[in-house]
Amino acid sequence: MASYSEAMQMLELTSRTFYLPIVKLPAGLRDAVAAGYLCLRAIDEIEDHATLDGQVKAVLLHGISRILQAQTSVERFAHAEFAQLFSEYRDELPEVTLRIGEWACYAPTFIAPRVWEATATMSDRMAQWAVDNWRVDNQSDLDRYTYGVAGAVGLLLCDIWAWFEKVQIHRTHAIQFGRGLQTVNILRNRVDDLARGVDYFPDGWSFEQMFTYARENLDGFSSYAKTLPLTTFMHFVEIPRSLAYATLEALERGEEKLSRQAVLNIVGAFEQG
Amino acid sequence: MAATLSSPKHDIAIIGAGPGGSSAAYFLTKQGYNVLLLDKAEFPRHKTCGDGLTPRALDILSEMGLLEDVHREGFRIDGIHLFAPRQQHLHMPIPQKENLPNYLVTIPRFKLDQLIFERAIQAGAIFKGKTNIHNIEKTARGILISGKHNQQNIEIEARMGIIATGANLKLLKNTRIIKRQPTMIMAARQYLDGVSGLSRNVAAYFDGIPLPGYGWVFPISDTMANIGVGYWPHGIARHWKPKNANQVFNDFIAQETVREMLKNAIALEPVKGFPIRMDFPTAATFGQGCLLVGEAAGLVNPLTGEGIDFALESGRLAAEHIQGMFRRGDFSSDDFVAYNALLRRHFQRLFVMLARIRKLYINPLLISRFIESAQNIPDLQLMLANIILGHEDAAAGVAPKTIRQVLLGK
Repeated sequence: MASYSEAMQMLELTSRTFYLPIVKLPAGLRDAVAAGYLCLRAIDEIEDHATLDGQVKAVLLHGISRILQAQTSVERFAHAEFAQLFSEYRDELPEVTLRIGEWACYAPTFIAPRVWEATATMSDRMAQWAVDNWRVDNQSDLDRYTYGVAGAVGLLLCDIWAWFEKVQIHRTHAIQFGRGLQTVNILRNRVDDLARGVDYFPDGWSFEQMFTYARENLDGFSSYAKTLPLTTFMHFVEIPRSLAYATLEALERGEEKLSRQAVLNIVGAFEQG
Repeated sequence: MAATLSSPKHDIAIIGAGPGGSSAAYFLTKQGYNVLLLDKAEFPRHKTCGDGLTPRALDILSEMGLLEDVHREGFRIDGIHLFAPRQQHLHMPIPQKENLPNYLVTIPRFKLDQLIFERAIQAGAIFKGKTNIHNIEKTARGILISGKHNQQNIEIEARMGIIATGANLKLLKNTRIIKRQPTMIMAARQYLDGVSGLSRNVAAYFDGIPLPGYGWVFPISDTMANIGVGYWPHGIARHWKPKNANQVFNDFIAQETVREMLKNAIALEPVKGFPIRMDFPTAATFGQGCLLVGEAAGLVNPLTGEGIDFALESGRLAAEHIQGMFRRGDFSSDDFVAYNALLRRHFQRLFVMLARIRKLYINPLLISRFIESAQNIPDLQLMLANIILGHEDAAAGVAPKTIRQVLLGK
């Protein structure tokens, strides 16, 4: 199993947006969220892999799901099965993916199966998207995609918070939050995605429609969030939420992405807060 | 309680920043936990104690990276003198035990506690001094601690707590973690300078002192010593009817051998009396979402009164156990019961044995025999040293055969 410092190191290496919000959470909650983030990041690296072909991605992603579904406990976790699954692709896969079993077991044992469930389910969905070459025809496809790879993360977070903090967060709004963040990513990565032949925009949708879609989801979450008392959850979502809005504004101004300085300002304000 | 939906701000709140609390804080912060360390005093502060570090204590201090500091600030001790009532005398070197150091170190608690405390702070623990904690309540999401900081009422939330309040029973009684007054050892000590005849040895006297009990002369430099007495206010000692520990102290230093050492000595401060708990075998070890460590759990060697080692060891055990609790993530009452079992596994046998030895041997009849026999029986001497140092397998030596040897004065 990964130690605290190993998990946090990998987190720092893989996420500029979530590293700070996660390390500042109370222990236990922090470890569950970190484990969830790293597991999902592990499969995300396969989904987004630049050179693996769709069929190989599907084999790996379905394989991960099957291994996770078969686990009975952290103590008897079948780490060797991941090594076997990845054996042919060891050189192509990043460390965060190769160590997915360690992250899966980094979650506190009481909540770990919920993290595995989220990872397994998302992995299967990603496999399907890879086979279908991420074909998005209409809004329903977009809704399905943003739900499958991000909205479901909101649901995972709700369950983790309910376990640790004994508070219930509205599931619908948590999904909106995930969808909103994912849509901002789609907008920001538009050029790169098109270059690799992937188009997440529903047929006939303009940038403005995508901006609206992103804002509707983010606003839906934000107006709900304002009604929450100041919680660890609000604190946790503050950086990603601010970055998402700031990115939208930058893109609308015609910038390619949010400037490094703007990112540092937002993160810096959080650090001091 | 405060109606916030926010999580407890701290993962672990530790009440008492002595060796038990500060070592737990160190081991927890090292593992990434947010630790709030509370104490009624600001540091550094004085603490009445014998100031001796056993090999076991040195081992943990070494693990904490403090061995060099302790050597620099402390005074190395290589042997033990025992003086029996009828002039018998025994000198023993500190035995080598596995990988433990084969020496002791004496170091005033004013310095030692500061070193351990600083280590916890360097590791990232947050400290709030001048804080008196009056109560702790278990809540749905952890614990709520209430008390006063600089005369102001404060409330602190944490996921769980460690109580390391030493011999002070107030908080343990307020929280109803303990309900009865435990038996306590009475002790008194004084620092003196200009003491003659000091060496790299500590001395324990069973002469001129109520038994079970002993007087000590622990050098802390070539000329300074921590001199004190400790006795159990029951058993045979009861018949001495000492008025208080200071009086026992005065009787002790008035006896010839000690008086001789002190003829040119000056006292650096008044004699200070203090009670010591040693009731671990029957003591509570958890309650109100908190684990108890060190003397708060009665963890003081019931033969020698040594408590620093057990404070450090239980501080580390509590830290490891809490890590396991967070790893599992259910924080159920089973977890607290398991901590009790963990402490019992580590210390119960040793404590029961040491208490038995105290009752059997530390009396005017047998102590002299015992010391006399040990002069000629190397195994017995080694066993005696191991017992004094609180080594776990010392129990093996107290066989009926040994008792026969002592009784027959072989």
